[in-house]
Amino acid sequence: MTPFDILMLISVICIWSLLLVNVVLIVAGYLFYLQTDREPVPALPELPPFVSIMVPAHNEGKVIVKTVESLLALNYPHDRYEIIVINDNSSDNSSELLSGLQRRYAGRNLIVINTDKTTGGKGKSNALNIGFAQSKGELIAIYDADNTPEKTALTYLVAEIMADDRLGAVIGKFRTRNRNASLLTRFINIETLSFQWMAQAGRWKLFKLCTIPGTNFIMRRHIIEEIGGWDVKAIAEDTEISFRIYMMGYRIKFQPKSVTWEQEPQTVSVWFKQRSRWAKGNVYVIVKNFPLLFNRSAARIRFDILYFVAIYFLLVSSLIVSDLLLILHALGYVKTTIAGFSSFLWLLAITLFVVGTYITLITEKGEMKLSNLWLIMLMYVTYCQLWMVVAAYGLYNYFKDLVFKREVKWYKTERF
Amino acid sequence: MRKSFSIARTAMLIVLAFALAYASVSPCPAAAESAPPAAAGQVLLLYDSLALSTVRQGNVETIERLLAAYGARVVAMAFDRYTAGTLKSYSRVVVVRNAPDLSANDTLASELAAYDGDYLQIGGQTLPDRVRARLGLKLTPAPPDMIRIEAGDYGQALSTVADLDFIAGTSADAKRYGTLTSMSDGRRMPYAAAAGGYAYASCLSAGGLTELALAYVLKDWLHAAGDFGAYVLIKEVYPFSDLALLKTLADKLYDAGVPFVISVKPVFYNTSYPAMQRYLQAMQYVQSRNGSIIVDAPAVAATSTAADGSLRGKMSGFIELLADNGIAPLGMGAGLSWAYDQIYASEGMSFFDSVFLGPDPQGQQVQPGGTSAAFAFSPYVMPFAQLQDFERRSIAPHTPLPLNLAFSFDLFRDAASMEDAVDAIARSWIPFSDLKNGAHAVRTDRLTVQSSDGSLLIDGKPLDIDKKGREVDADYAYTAAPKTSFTKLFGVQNRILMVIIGLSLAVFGLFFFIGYRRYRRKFLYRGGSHDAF
Repeated sequence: MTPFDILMLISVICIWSLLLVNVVLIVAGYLFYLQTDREPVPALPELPPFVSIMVPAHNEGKVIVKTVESLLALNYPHDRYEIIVINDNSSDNSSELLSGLQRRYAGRNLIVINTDKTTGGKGKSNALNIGFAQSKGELIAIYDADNTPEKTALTYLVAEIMADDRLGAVIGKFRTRNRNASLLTRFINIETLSFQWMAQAGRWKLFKLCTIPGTNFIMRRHIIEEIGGWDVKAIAEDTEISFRIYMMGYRIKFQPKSVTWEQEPQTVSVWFKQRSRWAKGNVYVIVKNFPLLFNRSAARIRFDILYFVAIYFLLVSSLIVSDLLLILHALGYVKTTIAGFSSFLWLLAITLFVVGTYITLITEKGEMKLSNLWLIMLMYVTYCQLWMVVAAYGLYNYFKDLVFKREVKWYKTERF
Repeated sequence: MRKSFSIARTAMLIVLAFALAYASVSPCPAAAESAPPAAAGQVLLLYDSLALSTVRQGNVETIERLLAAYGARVVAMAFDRYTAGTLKSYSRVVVVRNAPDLSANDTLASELAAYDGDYLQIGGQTLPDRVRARLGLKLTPAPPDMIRIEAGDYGQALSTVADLDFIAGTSADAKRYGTLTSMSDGRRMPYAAAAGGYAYASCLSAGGLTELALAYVLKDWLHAAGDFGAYVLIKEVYPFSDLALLKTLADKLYDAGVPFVISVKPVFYNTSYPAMQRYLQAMQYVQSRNGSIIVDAPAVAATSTAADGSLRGKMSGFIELLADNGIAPLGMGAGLSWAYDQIYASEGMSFFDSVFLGPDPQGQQVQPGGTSAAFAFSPYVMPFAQLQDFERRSIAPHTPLPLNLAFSFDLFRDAASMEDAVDAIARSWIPFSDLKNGAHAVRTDRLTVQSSDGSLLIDGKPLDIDKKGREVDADYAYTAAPKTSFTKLFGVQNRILMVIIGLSLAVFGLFFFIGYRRYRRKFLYRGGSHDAF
């Protein structure tokens, strides 16, 4: 037995433990799906609350018109919501496009806030704080600038949050609008369906916990006021605000019937930049909230903290360590004598991955296709392996920014 | 001539003295180099042509093997490669005339004319005057028709041989060998004649009775004495041969009272594998059924052009492996080319004093040498099928064999051909000899294998040939399992995870069933709900 064996053993235990956690989440998520599929969404109050929909945008000229128009077309009473587009230091034609929309929909509550590099340009959190200052809704909904929400999306979110005072926020589901554009977007479609929403559903079912996904969610105004708005240092402002809502004793519920369709990256380089930014943002939130793990009042959210720590630190480091040891062992630089699992177990695990992913996929229309099975298998050896690189790069960037004290700014996802 | 004989004898004694001194300090016998040839010493073989694409093709190799069977070291040389003065170094010369239109150059012709050593010529009408005169040889061209040859107990019809000369007359004291009979006019002539160190044979064709006929001539010409035996030799035995068939063959021959020799291909790697263990067990069984084992020459890769110095170690390793498993190899089987290769002879054959030399038309050499290696015991290998082409002149053998003869078979492909062969052996009326009745020795650095009077000895201790081998482990681990840590922990984890994943898969299977029905109801039947996109 060598020290490398112990390192390897720890890595292996971490990896398999997380696999099992995810299996549990998928099972719980699927049960939640069966449950919500049967239950109707609560009805809106007789006088629906006034909602401020905020859309932070930075150089989103290519998509902003469609997004705003779909928000204007929501079936929520038009006089009971306002749309605030924060056109944050854009250098494209967003301002003109938005002005045109304002003229076209003059009778609607469409507010456009144009900022320059003096007043804005400091990231999404800052833009949201600017918009929030001008909002007047008792509920705040947020959509990214590349979203196309279904007509019922806002109604379902509002109905859900109004039905339960313990809820601080309600999140909906987002799906891939351009899922047939490339192999990458097909992978992203599978990922959003199986890993994002099934994992969210599982966490809600088991722990009454969810993480705000950054778009298609609604919050109570007073909560934002109490927590002092968005943390401008946080890139993953959604994860960050989730923790703060938990700490106030509220729950964040998942309502999968509220759906928005999102434009996803179509090339690997754009995807890599976006995901490594998310990873870095999540690392910031984990580091910031890590002390909560030892805070009695944060008992309810320990699972979430542990879950994030496990994914972004343990899993990544375990995968890197085990892969590194494997390579060094093959090259003869490191001697490991550790035993391995049987090939049959590996086969079972891969089968489990494929079947687990597929059953979550077929909850959605048009996804019960044989080709999706092949895609999942291909995804296992390509997309999933890339995720490790993304997470490692995000971790590296976080520490780099920490050392060089770099400021948060807009990281624009390139549109197609 | 007497002077040259005494010089040769003195030289031989000196060589023998050195050889004994060498043997006393070196455990390796280097039989091919130091063991004294049985009788013949060194022979110069001169030929005018290899007679390719004629009925005589292969007869030069045949005479080389026949000479080797008498322990002669042979230096073979074409007429056109002859260098002046070479003949002086030899006390015996054999001249093969295959092409009457090719004559010896003047140097060779004059040296042959002046040569006073022992002389044997095969074919042709041009002979040194002294030889012709001593033999009283009168030659006449044979008619161009079928010729029948008789030698020993056998006869055979020869197809038309071009440029064949009959011996029409010899001196009164010349010894005559065999007969050639013209099928058209019934004339009977001797096949060969010999007198006083000179001999002449009419012809030699590879694969015919002339081989045996010439052997009678050579026996006298080389002054070979002693009793010669016939052996049954089974070749082409590999680890992946039909070993069950080999055992059955051993049983059949044992029941027929026929001793036999198995020539086994050596194995140098993976000798602990079950296949090798079964191979060894088959050899043990053969040995227990009165079979003897010899080691066949290893197959040489077509790409081998240089020696890597590993042959000696590999061969000694295999011999020792056999001995360690209670198998006593008594000699070697090889193609003739091995005897002419310096590397093969010194590194591959030097362990043995008994070598069965067979034909080797495709022989591949790495370091050809001019002189062949000689062995104390070197039976002439003849396919048994060749013997079957001979006509028996009497049922029971009357004439002793002129040399040690090994009748060879390749290991049979099926039981039927094996049965036929065993039946043919039994009907051949040949009293086959048991190899281990003779004195044979195989020496490596570590041990010595010997046979004498039917006993097998390893390092002087008698070998129990009825000893049963170990059971072969069917679950043999072909690669040594590396030492692993946390084996138990991983074993437990493996089982736990399998159960968990198995259960999860069962749950997922149930979900799939539910999901499939739900999907069909929601999205495929008319009236199902629709997404916005």
